[in-house]
Amino acid sequence: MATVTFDKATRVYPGSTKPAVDGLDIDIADGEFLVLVGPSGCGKSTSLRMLAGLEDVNGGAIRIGDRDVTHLPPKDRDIAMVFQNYALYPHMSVADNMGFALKIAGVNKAEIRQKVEEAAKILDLTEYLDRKPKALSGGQRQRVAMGRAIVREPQVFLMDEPLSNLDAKLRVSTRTQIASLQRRLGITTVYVTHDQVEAMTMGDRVAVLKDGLLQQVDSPRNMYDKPANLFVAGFIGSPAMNLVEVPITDGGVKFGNSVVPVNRDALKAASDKGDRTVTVGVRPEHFDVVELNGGAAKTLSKDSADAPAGLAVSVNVVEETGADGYIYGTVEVGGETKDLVVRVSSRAVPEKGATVHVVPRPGEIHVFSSSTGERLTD
Amino acid sequence: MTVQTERPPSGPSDVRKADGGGTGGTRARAASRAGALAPYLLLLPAAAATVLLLGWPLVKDGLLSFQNLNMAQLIQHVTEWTGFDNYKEVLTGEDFWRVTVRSIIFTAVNVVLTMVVGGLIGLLLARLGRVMRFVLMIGLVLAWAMPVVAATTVYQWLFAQRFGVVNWVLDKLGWHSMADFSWTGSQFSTFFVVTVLIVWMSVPFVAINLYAATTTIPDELYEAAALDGAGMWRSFTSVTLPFLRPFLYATTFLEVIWIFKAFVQVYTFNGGGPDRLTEILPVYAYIEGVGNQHYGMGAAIAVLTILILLGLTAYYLRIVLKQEEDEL
Repeated sequence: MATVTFDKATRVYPGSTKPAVDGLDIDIADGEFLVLVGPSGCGKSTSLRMLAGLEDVNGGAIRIGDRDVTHLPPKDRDIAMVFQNYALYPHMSVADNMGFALKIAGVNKAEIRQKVEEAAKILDLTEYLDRKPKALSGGQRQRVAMGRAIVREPQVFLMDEPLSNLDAKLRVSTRTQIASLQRRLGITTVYVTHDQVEAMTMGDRVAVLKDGLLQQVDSPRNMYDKPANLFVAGFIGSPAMNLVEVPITDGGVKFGNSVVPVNRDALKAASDKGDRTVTVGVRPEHFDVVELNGGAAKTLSKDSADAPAGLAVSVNVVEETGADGYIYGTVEVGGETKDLVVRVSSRAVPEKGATVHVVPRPGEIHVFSSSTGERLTD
Repeated sequence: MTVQTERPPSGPSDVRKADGGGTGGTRARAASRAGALAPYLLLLPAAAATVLLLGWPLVKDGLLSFQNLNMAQLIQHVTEWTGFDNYKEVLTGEDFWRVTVRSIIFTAVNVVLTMVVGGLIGLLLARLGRVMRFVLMIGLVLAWAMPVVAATTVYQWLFAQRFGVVNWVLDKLGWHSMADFSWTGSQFSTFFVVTVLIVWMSVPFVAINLYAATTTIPDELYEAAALDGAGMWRSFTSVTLPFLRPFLYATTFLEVIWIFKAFVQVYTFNGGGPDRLTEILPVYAYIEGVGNQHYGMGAAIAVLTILILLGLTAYYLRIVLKQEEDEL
């Protein structure tokens, strides 16, 4: 059990001037499940490997509990890692794989066997203990890799995209199993993934990285409700948040034919920077369709009384997932065409090729600075 | 249900068509027969060359070993069948067994040295930087590509009694008694030089092979081992060695064969001397057969040599096959 602290940890690969991880600052609480997420090349795996001791730290420090582990070799850090390709020793049986660390630590055989069997029971691997890894399915191998980590009872679990080699269905069920196992064991866990759904569903907190820079660390809820900048707003959520650059008008922003009220401080912050537009983020489920009796449309003031409210969306594709319907359409904003996704009730789905008008619900919009990408509303 | 009752008629008629002797069917079968023959046709040139160049001499050698064929018979073109006389004489003689034991010890020492030195250089290759690896690789390939007789000649010069570089260096380093040392003068020193020569020529194959094998080991395994607390030695024995094992078996197998029949080095360096003390089986067969013109006797020794080599490698092959079974 331990906390983990990244204190301005920086990694610069030899031969490169740009840091792969740049001044990473995260405090991870004891027993917390933290997910590092970001697009490929964002430095999430590098951060994890720095914590593991597989990657040098060129600046700052990393602490586990009160111990400064910045320059300790991996074996002295008391951590266990689950690799993307599992890294099972191919010539050892499942039991030997799981007990290898204990064997090196000099634990006696009976105790190793007992611990391995306990872990095997938790992971439903008891009948496979004498098999070699290559005689196992992908899901079973993944569980052996987990077992190898559990058996050691380390201070910290590190997981580097452990589900990416599983098929979609198995991934979803294993995701839940890993999360519940972690809750049960209460061991601090750092988990790396590129999949934001995995991040949102598994983590106590999520850290979003981009180009080696930490963008935001927060609970999944806050991450979704209050993304700190345009990148996080576009990255978290599926389908992604719609980001539309709109002109500022008196008391709000002009959204097609409607004026959507925005906090004055936010507008002032934008205009202080010299911006004449702001970028408005609206999640697909926060649009109301005027033609389908959208409630929000009536509350907004219109520019010209005879035209319909909101933005005109020409519907290209309608996806029905059963519970919901999603309209994929294009709108014209400021002379540019933009793609837009709108969630509608699956009971009332517009035709392909139709034109509908949408307005955002006033309380549910996110306003970002067009120049810096920072969040303006709170 | 209704769908099923409607369908059956089409099913059987399809099957009959495929079975029946329509023209389309025969043509297809002829084509497939030609297709089945194709692999054998492709193998034919190699098989023919093997039979011609290896099989025929082997049969010839076998026949010779049952004949009493010396210079006299050769000139007079007579064939004297003598049954197992040649074998009886060879197997009851003292020389043959002495040479056999010598051959086995010689092979064992050379193979062990080759594998150890080659293995270490292979591991060194894996750890070197790009430039140094390239340089070492070139050196290895050159040593390997050297024609055997040329290499042996160079070694003869290096170890020459009066003007050899080796003696000169040893003398300069303080071993003045080595100044005019005759390397070909005794059994041990001859074997020493031949062993150095053979190991030097065999190491590149082993080193490059094992280096290639190390590149197949995923880095993740070393990282996992490091996290599991393994030090250098532990990760070598637990990760590297198991991966190298099949390669070690295969290269040892080949080296045993190659070194056991290392005729050229031994014969060219000192002709099996001094006093026939460094004859190994192939050299013994050649000197008895061709040198002393007892062709039938030489053939019998050659057959026995093949049998001994088969025996040695069969035992070894068994280990390899067993290992493969274990892997599965």
